[in-house]
Amino acid sequence: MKMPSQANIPVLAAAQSIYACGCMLLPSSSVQLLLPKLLPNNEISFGDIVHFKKEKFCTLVESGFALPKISKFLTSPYQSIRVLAVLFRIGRLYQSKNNKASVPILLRGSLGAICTYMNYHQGASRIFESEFTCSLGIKILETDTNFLIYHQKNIGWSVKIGGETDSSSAQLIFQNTEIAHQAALGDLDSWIALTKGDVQLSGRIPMLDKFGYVARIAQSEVPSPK
Amino acid sequence: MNRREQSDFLFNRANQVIPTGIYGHVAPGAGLPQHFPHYCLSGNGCRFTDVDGKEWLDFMCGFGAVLHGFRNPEIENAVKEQQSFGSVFNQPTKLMVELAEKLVDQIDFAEWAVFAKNGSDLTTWAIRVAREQTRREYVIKVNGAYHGVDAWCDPGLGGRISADRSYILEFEWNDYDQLEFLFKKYHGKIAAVILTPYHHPSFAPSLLPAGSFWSNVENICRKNGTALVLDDVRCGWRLDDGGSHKYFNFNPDLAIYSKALGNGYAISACVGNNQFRAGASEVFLTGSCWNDAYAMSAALACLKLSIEQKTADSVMRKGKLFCDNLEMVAQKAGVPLKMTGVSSMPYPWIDGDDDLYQIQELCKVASTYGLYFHPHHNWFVSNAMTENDMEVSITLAEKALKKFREVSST
Repeated sequence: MKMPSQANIPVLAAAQSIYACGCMLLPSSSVQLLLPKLLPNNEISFGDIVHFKKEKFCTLVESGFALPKISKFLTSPYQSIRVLAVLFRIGRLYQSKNNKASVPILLRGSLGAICTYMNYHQGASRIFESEFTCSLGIKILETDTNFLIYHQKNIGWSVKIGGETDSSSAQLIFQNTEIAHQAALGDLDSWIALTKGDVQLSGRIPMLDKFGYVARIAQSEVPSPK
Repeated sequence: MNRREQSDFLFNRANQVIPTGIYGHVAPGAGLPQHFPHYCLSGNGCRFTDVDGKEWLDFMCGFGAVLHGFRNPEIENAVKEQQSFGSVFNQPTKLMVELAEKLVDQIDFAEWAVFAKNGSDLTTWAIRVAREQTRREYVIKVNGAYHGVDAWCDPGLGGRISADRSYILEFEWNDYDQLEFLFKKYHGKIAAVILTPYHHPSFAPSLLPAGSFWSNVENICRKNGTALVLDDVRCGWRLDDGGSHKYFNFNPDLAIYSKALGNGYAISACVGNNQFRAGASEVFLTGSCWNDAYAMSAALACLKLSIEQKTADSVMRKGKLFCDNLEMVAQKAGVPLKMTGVSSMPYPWIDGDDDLYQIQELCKVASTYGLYFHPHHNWFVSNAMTENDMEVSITLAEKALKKFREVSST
């Protein structure tokens, strides 16, 4: 895997988070439209269709609106509009109240950002080197939603919906969608939640410790809707 | 599930004023947050009562800090006596001299002793002494071994920079070839090898030294002029009354003790041979309350008790009885439980349970019977445990194991 510069990791993680949300919203044939790519000239693209300057992209994430680079927009306007529509739709999800439909999408987005840190952040990737054969199952009780974070050679850590969470090395269970919603937005005090039983951990605790540590780093650095 | 209203209430208050509420190895997340209490009220012998009034049969002994039982009368009386004089003054009390003499007398290789409050204070100091004495930089430790909370060795993830460990080398326990390779690669640069008497990591079975591991380690250290530092903080006085090196038949240059040394009163000691006296004299050592006479009076009482009651033999014997019986009732219940490590501080391991789900479930069930069995850390057998306590523990454990089998087969 090509390592991005450390300074670009928060932006890349935000873009990966959007992509992860898109995986839940779009048919699989269209997901490529949201595939993010860091470009050398301080830009980020989605599906190589819509290009943003890094600062503009942060504005998009934080305030819900920003203009992409117009030159690229003009070369494929239809696809660009489709991408922008999905981006705004994802943005609106962050403003919505907790509900059973939106929470899994937001949570997957949040997990996508954390995976970016597990892959590329110097400190985080190092502490996960010894966990390549392990996987982490994530469940939201009251829903049928399961996620699996796992590692593949040449791809790195990624998150998928479903998967064999019961045979995962460790499990993280959210007691309900409200707790998962707070976690996805970075509003959950994990120490209290764990002690109160809002979040349950089982299995390979050292892996969960690492995951929690990296998740807190990601949540403090990745731009998110304000 | 156990009642925890007061525990939860206190935790919520704590979380307002203490980062993470409770930190370190006693943080709720490190154990079973929904099953273990967060706060204790009192203890007596091998039992403690939590803040919600539940009594537990204890197999953690304050994570090893209590060997002679909670509120041991001899130790408490010794402290009470000293309380009529006071604790910390401008200068140490005579107890410091008496305690150093006692350690030098009781530990065969020791020719001097110094004191602090925690294991970490002195494991870190000891490697500095080794560096000062040898004028070398590198320190070798075992991968996954715990030697304290300082940046060169702590198991946490935060607050570290790469330079913290740039002179720390690691090898796998019992892999003498790897150790030999490090000595070759860093020839003339290794100040110290720091090891625990046997490998007792968290989240994994304990490993005893295999074959001639210890004599090989001792020889390579002697041959290279490297300090052999024994971290006996956890094992000290649980394997042998003269230090755990005697149990495994080797001689360190420096050894650190804490936990059982004060039976709950905060004290640690580093002892050494005269080869390292000059180095020890040069490395600054002090702390606000390190001359604490209460803890020193407790330590003197503990050392006396250890000899009088042959405590190490006693806890090893009690531990063996407990481990053998526990393994037997586990086998009867169809649970492949093995108690690894030494019997006075065994680590429970279920075959095939590499991800720890089963041991976590078993300890949860055991908690409902009032057994404080930790799923991730080695247990400790209290010398206050009587035959009757042992029988009660095994009877409860048998019920827990049956219940565990029922739950896990559904």
